[in-house]
Amino acid sequence: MISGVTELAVSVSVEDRDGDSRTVVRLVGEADVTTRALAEVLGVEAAKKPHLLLVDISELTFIDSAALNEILQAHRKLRADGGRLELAGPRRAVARILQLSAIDQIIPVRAST
Amino acid sequence: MTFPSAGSRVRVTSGGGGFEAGAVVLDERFDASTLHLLREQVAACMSVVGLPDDRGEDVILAVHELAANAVRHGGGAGRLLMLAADSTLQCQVSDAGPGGGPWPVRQGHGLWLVRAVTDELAASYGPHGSQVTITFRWQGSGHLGAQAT
Repeated sequence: MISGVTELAVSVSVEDRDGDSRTVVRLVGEADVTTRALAEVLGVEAAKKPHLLLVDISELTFIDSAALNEILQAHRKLRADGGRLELAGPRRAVARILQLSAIDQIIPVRAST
Repeated sequence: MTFPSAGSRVRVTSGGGGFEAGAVVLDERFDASTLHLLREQVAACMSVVGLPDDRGEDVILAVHELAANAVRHGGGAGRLLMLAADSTLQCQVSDAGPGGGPWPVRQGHGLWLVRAVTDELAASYGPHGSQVTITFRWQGSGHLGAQAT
């Protein structure tokens, strides 16, 4: 297993908004092939089958194909369970990677949470 | 192949995976624990090279994807060599094996990203490792243009 010191902080909160609960996973730092916390947290939260799993990437400064793949897998699992995953608040550089990888054609991207 | 030291000039005409002439702007070994540092080092080189900002981000992404692939499939470590010339930047990522197939097959989604942002890609592979060279070209002169003729 690859372990590394790329710094990514992952925090989870469950919010009620308009009577509808949603899970917000907030990513702060850089997400790459060495940041295992991303896959672990997404796996745990997706298994709880929330209606909406919102991944707040407003404080994410870099993401690579391995991390994108983890998000894509969580998206597929949630969709199979009748829920959905969305990305929120990408900075310009990350938004470009979402566009280049065509992830933004698969997963809804909103401007903010 | 033998790597030149930082600051030297090289010209590889065969077997170099598409390497041209230029000034060495970065020569770093990396493994899983230093991938994030490698990105920072590449970022620091962008102002030296004179690449437009948005393309600098492309270079960081592409080099990272190649380096990450070397970490995952190329024996856990590798080496990055960056050469700059007038309006051209070449980045070569090599690893020491263990092989098992050409990079384009093993790379998957990462290579998609690399191809999307680079102007040229040349790859060679064998039992002793893989070597991928990507080339970025841009309009106007790079800062190193006067030196690398």
